[in-house]
Amino acid sequence: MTFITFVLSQVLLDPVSLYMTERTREADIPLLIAHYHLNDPWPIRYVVYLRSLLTGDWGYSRSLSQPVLGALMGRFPATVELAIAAGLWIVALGIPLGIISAVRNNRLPDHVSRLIALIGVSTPVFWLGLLLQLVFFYFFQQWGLPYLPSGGRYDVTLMLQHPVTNITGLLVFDSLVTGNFIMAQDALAHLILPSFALGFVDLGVIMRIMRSSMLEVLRQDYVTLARSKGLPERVVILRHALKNAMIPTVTVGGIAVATLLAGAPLTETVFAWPGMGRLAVAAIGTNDAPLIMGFTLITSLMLVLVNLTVDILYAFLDPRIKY
Amino acid sequence: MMTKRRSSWSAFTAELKFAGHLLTQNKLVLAGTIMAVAVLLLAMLGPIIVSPSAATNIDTSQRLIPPSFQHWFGTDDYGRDLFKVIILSIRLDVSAMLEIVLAGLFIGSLLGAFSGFIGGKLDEGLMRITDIFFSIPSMILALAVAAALGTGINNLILAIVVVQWPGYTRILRGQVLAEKERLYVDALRALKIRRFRIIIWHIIPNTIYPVLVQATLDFGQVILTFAGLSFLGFGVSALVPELGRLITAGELYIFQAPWLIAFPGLTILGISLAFNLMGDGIRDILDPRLRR
Repeated sequence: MTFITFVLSQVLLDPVSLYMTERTREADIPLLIAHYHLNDPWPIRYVVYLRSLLTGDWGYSRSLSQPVLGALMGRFPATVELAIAAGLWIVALGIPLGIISAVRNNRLPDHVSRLIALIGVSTPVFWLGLLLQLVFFYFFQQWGLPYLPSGGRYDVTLMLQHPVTNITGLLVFDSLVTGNFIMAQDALAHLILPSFALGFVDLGVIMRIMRSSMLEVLRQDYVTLARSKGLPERVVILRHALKNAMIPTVTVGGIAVATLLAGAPLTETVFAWPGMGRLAVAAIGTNDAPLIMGFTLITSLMLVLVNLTVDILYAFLDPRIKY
Repeated sequence: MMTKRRSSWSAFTAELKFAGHLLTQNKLVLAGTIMAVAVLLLAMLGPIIVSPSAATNIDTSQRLIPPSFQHWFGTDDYGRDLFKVIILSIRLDVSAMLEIVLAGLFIGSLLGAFSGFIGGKLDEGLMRITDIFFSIPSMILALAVAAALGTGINNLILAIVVVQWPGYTRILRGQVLAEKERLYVDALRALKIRRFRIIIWHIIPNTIYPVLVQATLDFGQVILTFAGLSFLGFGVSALVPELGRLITAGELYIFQAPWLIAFPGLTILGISLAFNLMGDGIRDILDPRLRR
């Protein structure tokens, strides 16, 4: 993946611009070229590029006037918080609905879940975000109902009154740990709409996978045995069937994280969420290539990490799998 | 000879009947197929049904009028009739979608077929390249590629093609690996037919179906990516009718004129849903596991 960002940034674009800052003098450009080996053949340049990535030199963002890695790291927690919240929506809604639709196979809940899944994968996430704002912010406000904020990560005036000490950068978590419940509530309210919009796409996918793997498991002999022992249906499903049915769901869940990350630029833009995705989108407007490449790289690194986690989870869910 | 032809003909009609049976059995798939055909017709006939000047007619006295009998979907901030503009937009979005999938299919299946058939270092190298592509979410990669290429509709299409081909390459390569061991391939080789000819005329026609199924399933996703990136500002300029772009323009008036985002978004949803449903149906028809 570093290869792709290398080709995109160093071959298609003017590589010198990657390392120029607004204070770079014309006379210094040859120095830059020499330092980053920009006149060398590309295999050498690739190695140099990799070395600078590993040593934390991800280039310089001219639109932000700061190094790319630092800029991205500053926004990283916001994106992670959003992705975690979206993941919670998926787990909290997708898995129970999947189980229900497997147990009530081919009846009304099943049809409804199929429809939700289909609409989920067909919905433009940016449009869903705007609609949610329209309904839960604007219309609720018009009707005098309690409404949710339309964008941003926290209320600025409230933040000034109750500053949150930065521990992890995850605003809800930090304010809860420090006992700052006013900010925790505010941050949570800001989180609800964007995370739902982001999670909705995958909600249906997880639901369908949960349903089909649950149906598969419920047909097996050990479930019949558990039933014939006279165990209540609830115990059969939740204690015996669920764990085995989770394995395919976790696999697809790992892939779903990829789409969560992919949806981040759109969702963050629509909700003015100060995360990495919005930074990358803003960088498009200012032609800030180093920043976009940095974002691409971080996203794919996160994806690799998630896939690793999924592999480890297998061993936990299924004792037969050993590494 | 005569009897043989008749039997293959009856097999063909039986096949059609089976496909028809599966299509009509599932009402959702049928609805999706009808919708997809309607979308394609609208894309082709759009500029005939609605005069193309509707997209460029700026009339500031008619700004932001809510939906009414005269303007079904209301008017936008240029005073254009939104319904007409949407009808005109479908053409651009759908043709971009078709171009992306077909180009990805063409490049992807050629590379996949050669990779699987020739094997060796070419295969190894190509598979590692596809690995790289799979390690980055396609939307993000398309965004990065589009950013490197610069804005403009052709660059946007090219950027999505770049992320689209590896999937087809992988599928076709897997198919070809099994197919190349079959007897008829040995026979062709014994006849000294060139490798290129074998791949193009014999291997690809025998292995292409799963890739075609994947392509139909991809339509719905591709139009979402296209509209999404266009929404972010890649692609067309302001007055060119395009669905994602319409939503960008409507975002400014989201509370004042919600119809400006509601209808273009619904159109994208409808197109994507139609092709997703149809793709599901086609997969079921071609899935051998559903046959006895």
